[in-house]
Amino acid sequence: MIHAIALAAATVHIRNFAFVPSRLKVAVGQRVRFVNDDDDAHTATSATRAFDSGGLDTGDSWTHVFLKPGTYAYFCALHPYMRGTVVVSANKR
Amino acid sequence: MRRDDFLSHLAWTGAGIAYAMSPHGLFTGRAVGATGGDAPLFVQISDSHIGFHQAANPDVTATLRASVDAINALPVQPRFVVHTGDVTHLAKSEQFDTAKQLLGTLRARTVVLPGEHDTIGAKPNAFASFFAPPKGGASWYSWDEAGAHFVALVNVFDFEKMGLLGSEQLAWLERDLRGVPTTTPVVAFAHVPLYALYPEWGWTTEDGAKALALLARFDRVTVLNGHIHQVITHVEGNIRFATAAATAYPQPAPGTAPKPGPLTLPHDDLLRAIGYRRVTLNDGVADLDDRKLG
Repeated sequence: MIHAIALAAATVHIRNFAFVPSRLKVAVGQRVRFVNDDDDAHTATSATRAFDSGGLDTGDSWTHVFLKPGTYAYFCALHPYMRGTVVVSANKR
Repeated sequence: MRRDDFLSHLAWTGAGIAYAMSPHGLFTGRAVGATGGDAPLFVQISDSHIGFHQAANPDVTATLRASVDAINALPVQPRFVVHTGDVTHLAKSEQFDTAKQLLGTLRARTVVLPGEHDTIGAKPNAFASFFAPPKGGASWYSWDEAGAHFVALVNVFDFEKMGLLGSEQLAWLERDLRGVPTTTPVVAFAHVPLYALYPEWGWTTEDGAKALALLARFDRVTVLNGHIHQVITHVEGNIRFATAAATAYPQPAPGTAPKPGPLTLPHDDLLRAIGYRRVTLNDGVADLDDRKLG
């Protein structure tokens, strides 16, 4: 039997009107969790609409799995000057 | 503070400061009494953020209700009450529903504009399903009333370039204003300020200058916005701008904090920072009378 090796989820915190880390590197298939630690609402919205968390209230989180390698730019739809990038690399295992 | 204490503190005093917008472009503040002032032509409320439940305001529904009750208690009702956006915090159906029910208790008719909090998420048309434009028209529209030309604009439909009016809306505005005499007072509403109030915090409209260029030929123009949860006035030529206080919670003054966002104040100070605005047009020039809940 072959067991899939589950990759630990990576986390982006939304804190003080910024994505932390603003540039996150993950492998294909890895889960990325966006957590809103702010008093205000935020979103994590792909610039190409490849993904969109929708509105994240204080304390809300949203998880997305990146299935294709590439560089994904995203922003907060409520505060578009908040910018982040997820870099997804091919899984070399 | 406990919730019942909070509610008991929601007594409306009716005192406030009136900002007279003089034809010379000067703002003069004057204190007004609880019963002072003329009957307003219309009333502006803004940024109710129904669904918000953090320390900056533990009961935004109660503070919107207090604003509605104060407006309904005016001895002479305004022609309409305009809500300049962010009716809800997260554009959820139950939040729209609560807001619509509360605004539906206003005695005056309502004009409701969307803010960016009302248009996020998977259902961008949710706002229109609760607050449809008049006569099934477009999201932006105009009307003539009391000798003035009123324009309701939307600058929150492009998430990545917020605020943005867009070329389609600007073309419509050009056509809309074409037949309006220069001497007609013009009052424009939009959620995000139309001028560069504080771009570092997104408090600007990227193509707002194009709208202002269309408005510049009129003798008397008033532009009323929300979004920044505080009263800030500004003058460019014949165009007088004023942002409104929220009914939910204040935000920091531009540049006085590392970031914008809900500003948590002691309860009494909160009530002095939120409320509604009575607006009269005196010879076409807007007279703003900001009333706070505390």
